[in-house]
Amino acid sequence: MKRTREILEKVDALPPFPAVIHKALALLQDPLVSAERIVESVRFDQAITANVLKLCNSALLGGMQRISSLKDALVRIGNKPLIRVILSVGGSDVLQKEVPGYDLERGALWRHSALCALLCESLCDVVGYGKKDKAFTAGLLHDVGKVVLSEFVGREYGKIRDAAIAGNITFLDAESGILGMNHAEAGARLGEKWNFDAELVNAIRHHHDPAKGDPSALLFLVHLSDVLCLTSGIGGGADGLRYNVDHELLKGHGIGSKEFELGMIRLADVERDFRGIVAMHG
Amino acid sequence: MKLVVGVADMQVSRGPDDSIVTYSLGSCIGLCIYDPVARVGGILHYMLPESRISPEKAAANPYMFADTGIPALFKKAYLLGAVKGRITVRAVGGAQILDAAGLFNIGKRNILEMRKILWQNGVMLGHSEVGGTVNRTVTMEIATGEIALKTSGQGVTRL
Repeated sequence: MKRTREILEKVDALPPFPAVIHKALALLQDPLVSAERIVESVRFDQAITANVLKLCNSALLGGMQRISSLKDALVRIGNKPLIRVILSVGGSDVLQKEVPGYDLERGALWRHSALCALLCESLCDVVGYGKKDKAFTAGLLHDVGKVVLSEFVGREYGKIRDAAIAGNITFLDAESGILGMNHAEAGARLGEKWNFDAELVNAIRHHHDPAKGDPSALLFLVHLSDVLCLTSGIGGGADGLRYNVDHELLKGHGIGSKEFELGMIRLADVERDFRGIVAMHG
Repeated sequence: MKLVVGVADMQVSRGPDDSIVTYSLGSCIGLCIYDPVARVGGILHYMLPESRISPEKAAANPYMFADTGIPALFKKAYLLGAVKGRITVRAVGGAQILDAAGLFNIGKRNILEMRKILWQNGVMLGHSEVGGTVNRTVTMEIATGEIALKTSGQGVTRL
């Protein structure tokens, strides 16, 4: 039985995107705005402050001197990186949850999302995409629809898996077939509800089938980074690796088998920095 | 103690209270070796088959590749008292994304490279769960050599 209506109701019922993230996103669009405003808005939030400090003191940012306040963090790492940190920490409210339908433990979806975000950002140079912060955001949020779909996938997991294997189709198409909507579409609907811009929504909606989306460097970045993360098993769940890779698109960007392996190596570097910092604290 | 093996990483132990775990193998391979007499066990979690793609990476982190990681795994186990003839070898992982053209068939190549290296060194590969499109997590108890395999969405089995 299709669940399209229930899924849409769930999208509507989800809490508004954390206000902090919304502010951060708005600030990212405006290069002249300082991060002080956003620091002001989060400094009373214990969880966010603690996590920002943990992240800033991590090997990822190569700190010699400990950072002990959001103000310190701002001085040390600068506006944009701090906004990014706040984004990922604030986003973890939504993404950090256990996602049982996909057999993802608490923190696993967030780890996949955060590493995909870091990889998107890292690969901007390869693709010649200038908006690193946006690439980071798109990577962070591409799978947010799984939060919505989790309970439906959990209930019908056996059917979805059987449909995928019997029909030799992707988990995404099996979700559409059994539930009436897949996690990428659910994520895009959330993004629309949260007033993300069209480029971001397009990247979320078509991250598994980029040929069906509006051609965009951002979409390509998210597709490539997600495929690299899935291949490397980063935060992999019950849907496994049952997704397509768009060869034509990758080839068009000069990504062959060798470049793909180098991408995996780059992901390993990103993961190594990340390991023991955020991934393991949950 | 629980020893966690990250991506492109390795742990070897002879601590009777230790267990070694590596989470969420996609196309990567978790190669598990165990000597039941010395009670020495280890898991290597490698990503890619051949180090020639980046010799400098292999020098910095041999555990990234099958051809540099597998010898390192056995050498470390020997240092802790394991003996080649007694070691059992099991493998998990090597899944891959749906890829009709087979351009990015890293899982398959990881499996082939492992079989080649083991064969060249006269080592038998025991019970293994490789291939497909599933994520796997593997845990080894050092006291017994028992291996628990968790396949995402399908629960836990003994290997």
